[in-house]
Amino acid sequence: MNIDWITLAAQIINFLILLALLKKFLFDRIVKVMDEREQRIADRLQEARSKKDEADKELQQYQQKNEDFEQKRRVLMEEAKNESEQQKKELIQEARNEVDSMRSIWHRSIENEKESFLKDLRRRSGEEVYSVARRVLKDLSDKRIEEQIISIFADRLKNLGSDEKKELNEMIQKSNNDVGITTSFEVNNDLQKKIDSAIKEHISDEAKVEYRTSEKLICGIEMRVDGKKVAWNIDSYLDALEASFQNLISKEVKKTETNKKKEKSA
Amino acid sequence: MNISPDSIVILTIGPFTLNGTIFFTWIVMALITGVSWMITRKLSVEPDISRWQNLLESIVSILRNQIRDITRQDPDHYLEFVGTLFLFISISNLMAFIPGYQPPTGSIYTTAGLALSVFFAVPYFGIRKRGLTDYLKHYIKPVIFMLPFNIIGELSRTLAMAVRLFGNIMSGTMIVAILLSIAPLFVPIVMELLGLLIGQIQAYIFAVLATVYIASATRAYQSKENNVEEE
Repeated sequence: MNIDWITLAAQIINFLILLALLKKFLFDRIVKVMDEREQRIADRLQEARSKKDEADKELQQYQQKNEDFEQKRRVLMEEAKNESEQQKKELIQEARNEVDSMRSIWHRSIENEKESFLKDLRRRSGEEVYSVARRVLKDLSDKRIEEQIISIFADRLKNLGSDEKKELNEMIQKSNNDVGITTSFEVNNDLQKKIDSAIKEHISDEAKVEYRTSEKLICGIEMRVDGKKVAWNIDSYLDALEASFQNLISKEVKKTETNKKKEKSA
Repeated sequence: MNISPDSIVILTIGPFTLNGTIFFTWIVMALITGVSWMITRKLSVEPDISRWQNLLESIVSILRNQIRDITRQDPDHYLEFVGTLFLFISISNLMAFIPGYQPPTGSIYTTAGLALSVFFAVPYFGIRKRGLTDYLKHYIKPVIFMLPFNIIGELSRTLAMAVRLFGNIMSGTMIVAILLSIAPLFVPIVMELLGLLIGQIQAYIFAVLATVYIASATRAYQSKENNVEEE
């Protein structure tokens, strides 16, 4: 058999040419495009996955935030509750304190009223008694009342205990024999002599008596020697009167208070 | 009626004769290259691709998958060679229904040329992949006594490839020619259809065998399965 080497070689060459052509125009291009597309799809998938991860993460964050928020809200609510409870207690306490203070103020004002009433009463009664006494004394011829006062004073000096007399004597000597007599009226010479003699007789011979008048005494006489005094006056009687008045008033006030308390508790 | 396209004379220039084998080969080459060029001129990376690009991509991806399955290696090393073999044989056989056309694969020179290409491609890929000494060692495996048989096997399988393809395609043409003289109506058409089917099967067999030979040369002897694959 005659072998056609040319055709054989031509066919091999043809095949190699076709191989090169297809490599250039078909396989390389198609494979490249396919790989590119695959890469793109993979990229997109990767992107989607990463986005999903991100979204998941974000979701988790939001959930966490929500939980935190809820927690915070609960804590705040609790705090607010406690605070309001506390405030309520404080307000009640404050109201109580206020009531207490108001009550004490009220007490004090009652006390003040009582005191001022007593003062007023004392002053008035003093004035009244004074004016009455004055009128009475005026009406009952001056001289005799004054004399009477002085004689009562002399009697008092006379009736002092020996110890007291001694003490007075010593005091007079200490104060350079100065003895002050204060009266509510002018003492005439006869009465002065009478007083002098009474002092000299019962207390000290060497006493030098000085006379003064004072409206304060209302009606009476007072001897002062270095802080010690021997006296007779209406003022002392008035003091006693005032004391008894005060006693009476305070009793009244107590009564009203207890009545009020009873009313409150009722 | 010519049984082989070798005997068809298209053109004669001096001592050179352009026979049908070379002429039809050129036509097939021009067709495949032209269509490929037309389609691959404007390729799209985006998913919305033209149906022609889709066709080519389908073919290429099927080829790649087949090669990957057989070689269990990266298919892109062998894609051009195996792909060209398959496409050339497949298109050559497919065009057999065109009147006046004779498949160039019906010529022993074409099939021998292709088989010789495979014969040289096997050591080419083997040496490129494994190195010269490592590649040559596989001729004396499992024992040095096997050397001549390995060489004979190498040669005989090349011959077998050439004759198998040639015989199948040539017989297809010959059957049609014989039937035309016996029963000129309808029956040759059925045989023509059968011939088309056989042509595709032969294209597949040729490409798969080439792949198997290349795979066995490039793969180290890892398992006995590989030896079994080697016919």
